[in-house]
Amino acid sequence: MLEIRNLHAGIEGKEILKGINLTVNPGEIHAIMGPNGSGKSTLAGVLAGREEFDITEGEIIYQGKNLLDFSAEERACEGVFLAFQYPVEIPGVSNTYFLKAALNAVRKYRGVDELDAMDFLALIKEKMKLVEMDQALLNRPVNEGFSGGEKKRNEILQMAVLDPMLAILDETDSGLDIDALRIVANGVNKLHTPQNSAIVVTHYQRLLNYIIPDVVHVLVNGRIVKSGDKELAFHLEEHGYDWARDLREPAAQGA
Amino acid sequence: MNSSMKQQEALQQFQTHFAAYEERLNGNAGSPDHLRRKTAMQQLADTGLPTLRDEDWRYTNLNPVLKTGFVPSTMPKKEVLTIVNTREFLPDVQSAARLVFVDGHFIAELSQLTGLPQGCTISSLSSAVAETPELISTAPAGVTDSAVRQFTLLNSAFAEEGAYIRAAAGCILEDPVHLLFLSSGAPQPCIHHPRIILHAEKGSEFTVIEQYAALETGVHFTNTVVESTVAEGAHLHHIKLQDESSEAFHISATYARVSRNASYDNHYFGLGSRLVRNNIHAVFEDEQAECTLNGLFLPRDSQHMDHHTVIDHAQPRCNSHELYKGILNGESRGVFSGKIVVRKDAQQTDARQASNNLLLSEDAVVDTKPQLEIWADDVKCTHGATIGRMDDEALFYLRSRGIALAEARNMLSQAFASELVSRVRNEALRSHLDSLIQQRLESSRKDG
Ligand SMILES: Nc1ncnc2c1ncn2[C@@H]1O[C@H](COP(=O)(O)OP(=O)(O)OP(=O)(O)O)[C@@H](O)[C@H]1O
Ligand SMILES: [Mg+2]
Repeated sequence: MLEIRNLHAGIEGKEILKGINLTVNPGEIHAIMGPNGSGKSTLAGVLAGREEFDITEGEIIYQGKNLLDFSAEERACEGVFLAFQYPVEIPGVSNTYFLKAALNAVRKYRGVDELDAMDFLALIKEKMKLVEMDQALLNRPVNEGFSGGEKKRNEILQMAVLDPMLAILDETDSGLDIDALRIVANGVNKLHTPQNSAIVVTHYQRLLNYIIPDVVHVLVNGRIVKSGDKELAFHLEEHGYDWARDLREPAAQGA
Repeated sequence: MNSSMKQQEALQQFQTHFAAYEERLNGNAGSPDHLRRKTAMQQLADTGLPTLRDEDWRYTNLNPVLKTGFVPSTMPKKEVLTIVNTREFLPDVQSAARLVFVDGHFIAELSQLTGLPQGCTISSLSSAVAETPELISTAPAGVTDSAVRQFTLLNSAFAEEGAYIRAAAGCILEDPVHLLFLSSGAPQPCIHHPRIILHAEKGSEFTVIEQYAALETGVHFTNTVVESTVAEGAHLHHIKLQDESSEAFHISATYARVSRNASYDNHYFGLGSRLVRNNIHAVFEDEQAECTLNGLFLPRDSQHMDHHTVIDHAQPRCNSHELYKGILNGESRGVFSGKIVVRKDAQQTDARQASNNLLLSEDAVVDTKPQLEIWADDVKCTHGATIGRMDDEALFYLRSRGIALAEARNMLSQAFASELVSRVRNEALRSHLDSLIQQRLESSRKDG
């Protein structure tokens, strides 16, 4: 599905990612944990096609293709989806209009017929059940005035509608109350199949009780310093990141 | 008064036109109509045409207008009129009546004035003036503001045609009255001075759509004056859609006098002309009245669009809301100057003003100037101005969902504009505006 090789990326001459190696196979869920500022969102952004970062070294192979050759919109159409840590408010564009434009852009790219208003509404209603989202949010402008939790649900709704192959969830659990966390995690699990993969960025082991990762990685200062199974998340919860900061060598890839 | 060469020459030209008009008067010389025009011409000569040195004109250089030798417009040829399909300019908008003007001349064959409800008078200005000569004043009462005065005087000296709409007390007109001003692209640059008079009597309500469009591109100069009075408890909705030829010049002054418990709203949508200067001057004449001024302008290439508004809170307990937005492309220039005056006795005034601008190109420039003159102490006045480029984070968000860059940009511009379109009450008109704006944004994108 995804192979990141020796990825170096930065901004304005400052290196943030300092040689990331990561392999995600179809059907796998990987968790990435790490202290604030370690580069988790940068990695997620580079994967999704943020243009402000300079890639100075390395490559990203996604489904046999060189991901860095694609624009952000092409990546989305190719099946990469980023759930934003901070979803963006877009005044003046209704949520429905936005979702429909996105879905039809992706469908067109994939050579599938665009959906008309009726079929789209039917689809959206079904997907909304998955995240137990309030209908009223559909007619409001994208994320404008949404509560933190509503924004995160809206991200997962978009994911459900676009049906990605590789979903990257950047701290989707932050800002969610306990019930919402369960609902959102359930939604993610229902969307998970043996064919698609997910990278889940989180600070809290709690999320991983719901979304069970195959591999947990620890990202410190732009490097993956340790990878392991889900027990690693408990270890981090208990001991923090200090011990990990001393690990110089990138840990061996687990799978 | 000091004025430069260009101003002098242009003034002389107007005086020559006026002398020619006086020669044709014969027996009518000395009529009230003639004297009123003469006074206006004289006052204009005393004041002189504005220059960049005038504070109200410092952003707008009139030289391109003044150096064009305009001739008074002539009646358009019959061939021109036969090809006009008046419905295409506002498709799907049901109107109560339509007055069509080509190069400033009223064209009865193209107009539709039948089936009007009782109590409603809608006619061409010339036929209204034939009955009531004093309908046209030299300048609307109380107008001394230099920003609007000169071109109003010019209009008063020359205005021959326009529209007169009066809703008698209690008369409510559901469908809008459509005033369509077309230009034929005549080879000689011509000038016309439409005059529009709107009277909403006590408790009445109506909507006017003042539309400018081009049959062919060409240089011409439209110098419009609109005088509106909104009597107690009446509501006047005024929509102006300006899409003249990109070589045209457009200057206008719109006056509104709003009485007790009455409301006046003005929605402006500006796409056309090489140089535009709109002045709106609204005065509250009694308490608890309301005034809304909304505007959206979308200049591209080297278009210049200047909007000056004054809302005069001369009476207590009135509300005003103003929102102007510009979406600027190419090397275009936008100006918004919004003055709010709150007089000493105008306690409990609530005035809100915002000017938001979106620059789509590196070379576009916008100047925005709120001016608050507040003499009362118990008032709520807010104003804000923003000038920005497209939000990169929002663009990335849309793209990360598969929406192509060009479409994402378009969606965001359209969203920026939608706030103003959504405030128009007529649904068919809203969808027409949406498609006009969309076309404009798409074509600007291709050019720029
Ligand atoms: N656009 C940017 N301009 C400058 N510095 C940036 C930019 N984006 C990220 N950085 C810097 O890169 C580093 C990594 O940031 P990143 O957002 O990837 O961290 P993170 O691991 O996601 O942190 P958190 O857990 O707080 O979300 C930080 O020091 C941050 O300040
Ligand atoms: Mg982050």
